Amino acid sequence: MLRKPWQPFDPAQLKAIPATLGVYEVGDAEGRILYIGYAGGRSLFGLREEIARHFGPDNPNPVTREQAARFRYEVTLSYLSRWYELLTLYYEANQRLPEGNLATGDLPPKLGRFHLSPITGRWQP
Amino acid sequence: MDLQPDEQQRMIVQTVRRFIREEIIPLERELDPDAFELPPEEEARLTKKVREMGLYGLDVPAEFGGPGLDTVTLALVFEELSQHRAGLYAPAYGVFGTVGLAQLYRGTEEQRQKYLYPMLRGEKRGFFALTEPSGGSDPARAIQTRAVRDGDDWVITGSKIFISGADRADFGLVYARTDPAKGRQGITCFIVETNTPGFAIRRIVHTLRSAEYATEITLDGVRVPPENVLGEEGQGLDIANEVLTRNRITYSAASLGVAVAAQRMAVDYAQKRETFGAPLSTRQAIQWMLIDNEIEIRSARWLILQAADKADRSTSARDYRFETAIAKAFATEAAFRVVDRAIQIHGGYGVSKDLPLERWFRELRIRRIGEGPTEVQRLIIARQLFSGGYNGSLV
Repeated sequence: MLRKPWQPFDPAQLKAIPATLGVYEVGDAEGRILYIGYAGGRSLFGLREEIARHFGPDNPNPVTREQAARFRYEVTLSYLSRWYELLTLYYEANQRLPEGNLATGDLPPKLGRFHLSPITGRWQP
Repeated sequence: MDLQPDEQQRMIVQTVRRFIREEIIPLERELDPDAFELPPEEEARLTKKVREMGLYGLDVPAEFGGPGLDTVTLALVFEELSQHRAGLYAPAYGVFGTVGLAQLYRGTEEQRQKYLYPMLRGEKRGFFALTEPSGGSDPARAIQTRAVRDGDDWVITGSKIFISGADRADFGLVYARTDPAKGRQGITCFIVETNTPGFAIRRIVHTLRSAEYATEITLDGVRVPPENVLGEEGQGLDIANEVLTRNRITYSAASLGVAVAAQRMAVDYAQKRETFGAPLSTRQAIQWMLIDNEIEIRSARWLILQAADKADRSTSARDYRFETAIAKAFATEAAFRVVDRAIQIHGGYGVSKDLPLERWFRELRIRRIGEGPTEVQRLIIARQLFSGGYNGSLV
């Protein structure tokens, strides 16, 4: 999971989101992760555009359209490997993928695996 | 002595070139610039096509069902295979089925049945784990991962870093110290299954590389049965070096391929782009960059082909390690300089994700370190120079 505080989405503060490459998470009002995404090299306005589309009226993703309430992001040039890492960590912790990613199929072709402790059920650092 | 490719080599190279240009590059226009894998349906379609062409498993010997290409032909092919955006670390996105882990060819028939053949069929994935946090260039001294006997089994404890593909693998080749008193002869290669208790992927190591990210793995009392020792006990580094030395030839050839592609782009752009009323190609400053590129490309190619030819005539990697070290050191350093100059000629576009140059630049930076850094290659060259009986002539 991203180690950043959740932020509410405010269209008036859109320009505060950097238009750079990076990864982000969209959460519901309770802070559950709905979607894990990235702003890659084909993104016109980077994180700003990718995050905003989950909160706009034309959002094609039914899960984030209904439930998105907050977001957090991380600027990184290693956006693809970080995206894989976040999805893998999410899967290891929840034994499923985020609902929003499943709804639109925004997933890598193959996902790796880390290893959960058989005793604690948590990821072994 | 014939310095021209033969008819079969020409045919294979042209086939691969056409495939890259007609199948791979058009797909890349839709993919993220850092993508390192294809959507599954495209991967399946193109793999089928490559199988039909008879080129699947390019580097697999004929006795194991591959085309059995010699090293010279493989070098020529890898120069073509890398000439697209992801080409350095994901040549043709893996649809040619190049597998690595050639160490398994030396395994027992039981090991081949269990690991090698499923890997060649694309059913199992493997990883190669030599480098440790304590170092990778000098594994004979750096390896701290220990394997100790417990009954008939071995129990392995330690960690490995910069390991590609371990999080997706079914098994891996793990090098561990079995006898601390014996130095390089005290290191053994084990086949470790990733579902064994105690095996863990600790993290992804994010690097400059876009393709096939690296991982750090830990082994905490991983129990390995005796039948999973690859080769003889204490001969792990011999097994590793035999393959690593040969791999450096195709590694260098792939680096060269990217340099060729960058030079092609730079020559083309220099003729189209005008500054102060004339094309860049008329400026001597630009011409000299392109000339330096061409000299380095051609020099690298002959060094690689010489190493490949020596490899084809040798029975042991020791016989061509000198030529391979020269080729690897020069080709990777030269390719980096070529791409750097190509970026300079392209100006701002050169560093943008609109073009593949920035990705090649980042990934070529790693090539100067990966598979033995330039300085270690120089060490190998120096050892040979001072080993007595130096003869610098060709004959």
